[in-house]
Amino acid sequence: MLRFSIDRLLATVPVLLGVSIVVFLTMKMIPGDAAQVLAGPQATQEQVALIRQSLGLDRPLYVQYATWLSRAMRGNLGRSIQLEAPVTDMVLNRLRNTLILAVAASVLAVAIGVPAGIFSATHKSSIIDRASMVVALFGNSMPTFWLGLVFILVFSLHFRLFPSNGMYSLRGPGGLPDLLWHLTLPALTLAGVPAAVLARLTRSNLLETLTDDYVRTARAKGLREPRVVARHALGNALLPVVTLMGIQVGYLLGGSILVETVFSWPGLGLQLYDAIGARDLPLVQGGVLLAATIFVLINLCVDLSYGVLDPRIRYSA
Amino acid sequence: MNESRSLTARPALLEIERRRHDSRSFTALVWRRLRREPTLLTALAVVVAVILMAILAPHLAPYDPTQVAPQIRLAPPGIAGHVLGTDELGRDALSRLIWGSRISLIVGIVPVVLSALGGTAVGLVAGYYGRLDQIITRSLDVLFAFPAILLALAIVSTLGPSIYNAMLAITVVAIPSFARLVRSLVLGLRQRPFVEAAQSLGAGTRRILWRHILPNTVSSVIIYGTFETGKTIVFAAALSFLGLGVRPPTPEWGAMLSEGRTVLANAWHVATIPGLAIFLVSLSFNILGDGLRDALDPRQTM
Repeated sequence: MLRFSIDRLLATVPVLLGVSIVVFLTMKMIPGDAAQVLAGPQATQEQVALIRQSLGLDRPLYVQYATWLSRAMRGNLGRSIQLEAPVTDMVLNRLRNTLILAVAASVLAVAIGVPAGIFSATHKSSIIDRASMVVALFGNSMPTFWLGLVFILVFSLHFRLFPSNGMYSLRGPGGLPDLLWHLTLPALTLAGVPAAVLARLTRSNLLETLTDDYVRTARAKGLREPRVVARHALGNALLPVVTLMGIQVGYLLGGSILVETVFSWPGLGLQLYDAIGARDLPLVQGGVLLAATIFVLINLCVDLSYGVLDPRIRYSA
Repeated sequence: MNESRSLTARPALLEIERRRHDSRSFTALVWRRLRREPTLLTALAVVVAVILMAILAPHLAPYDPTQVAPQIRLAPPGIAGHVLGTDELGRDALSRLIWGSRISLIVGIVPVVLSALGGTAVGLVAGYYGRLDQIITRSLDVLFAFPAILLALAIVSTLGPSIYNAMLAITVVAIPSFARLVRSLVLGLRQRPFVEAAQSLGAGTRRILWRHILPNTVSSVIIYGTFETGKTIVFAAALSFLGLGVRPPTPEWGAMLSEGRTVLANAWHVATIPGLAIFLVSLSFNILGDGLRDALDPRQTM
């Protein structure tokens, strides 16, 4: 297991380097004079020259990258143009709120998707199976931001059950209950697509596993069906689901920008949205770099957990 | 490849080959299949209808989609000859929806075609030339390390928000998955006896790639591309929603949804109707993809 973990860790390093190169290169794609763009339209010649020099834009590309990377690794992602504050502090401040949303959505997606998939597989072709697969198919094509708006229309504006924006009430009690109350709609919205994907995958995997020889053996020795499913089939059927969950976390990080925008949830996504509107490029790049890094690290954790769950992976890798 | 399997596979291959040449029975086959599956037929009808709507937009739209009429702003559906109501500037929602289908379809389809071409080229090279495979696969891994929307967002926000930059970003983001698909197909195909036969007959690399390997990847690429189109329509709308796509007053479904967001409390229809359109078209492409997969490639299951 140690060997496997070290291999995986080492394999992550070039990916992270590649991610940093891509983010760096997207910054270099600014049309025209980058210093001019960063300084804004009202900047004087001296200010532009100052920015060009302070960013090292007059030096060769690989030198610029090395300088940028070494700063980034020390936690210096530059300064936000709009708010004149260090990007690192700004994105890290907002990250916590995005993680709250993403974790809640992951929990909901698993809590909805996996049982729905299991039920569908064990009650194949029943009405509930068909209905949940139709819902899952819908969930696959659903624009997240639209689902959020529909939730706001129905649960917030019509039934007045949940708030439509923010994280805490302005003059409310605050604390955990208030947070959960505000969290419900955004988390449900964000969980929609992953729940649908998980349900479909769980169903098809479990259906396949249920035809395996060892499941037949378990049935032949007289075990009751729930025990066959729970003890024998489910463990093996859920392995790919773990991997998929890792991929879905990437979706959640990406999807959170849409959901946070719809619900004004004060996370990294809403910050990125505001930064796009203000053409605050250092902030956009910093946020994207942070999110991509987290995504890579989460996938590393998924890989490692895969090694724990299925010992065969450790030896074949 | 195991001997008995290739023997049993041969009649099936001959059958597919025969059907391909007998176009009449193939069409009949497709039609029979469609009639048996109303969902598939409906999905196909929706896609064809939207394509027609986009082509015939100038003739179908009852009003000018950018004509502002403040006195009837936010009119609910059905009032004053506006079937789907008006938006916050009094523009006819139906006309904007019809004209918007043009942009939504173009943005949904063009990047998919481009990334299918680009991804196929990269995948062919990676799968066939072992030496380049490592480098290409590693580079693709890096692109996979980004949540798609974030990478697109970084690209568009740097280049400046516009429909062309959005399409460019979507293409870049979609290339890796096509490349990975084609690469894995090529890795399998180059081991097959017909490639060995072509090699031993003295066919050059270019001929083998063009005549023997590429044609065998096409159906999978088309199937995947259909799913990808469904995804891309939503994705492009998401970029527009974030203000990275079309500029106002151009009608586009994602942008319409975003504009309607601010008036959700007084006029629910402005945001929900374009969203419904995005959803239905994307859903239809997904169902179509399922159907195509079953029809073209019965062995492949997901």
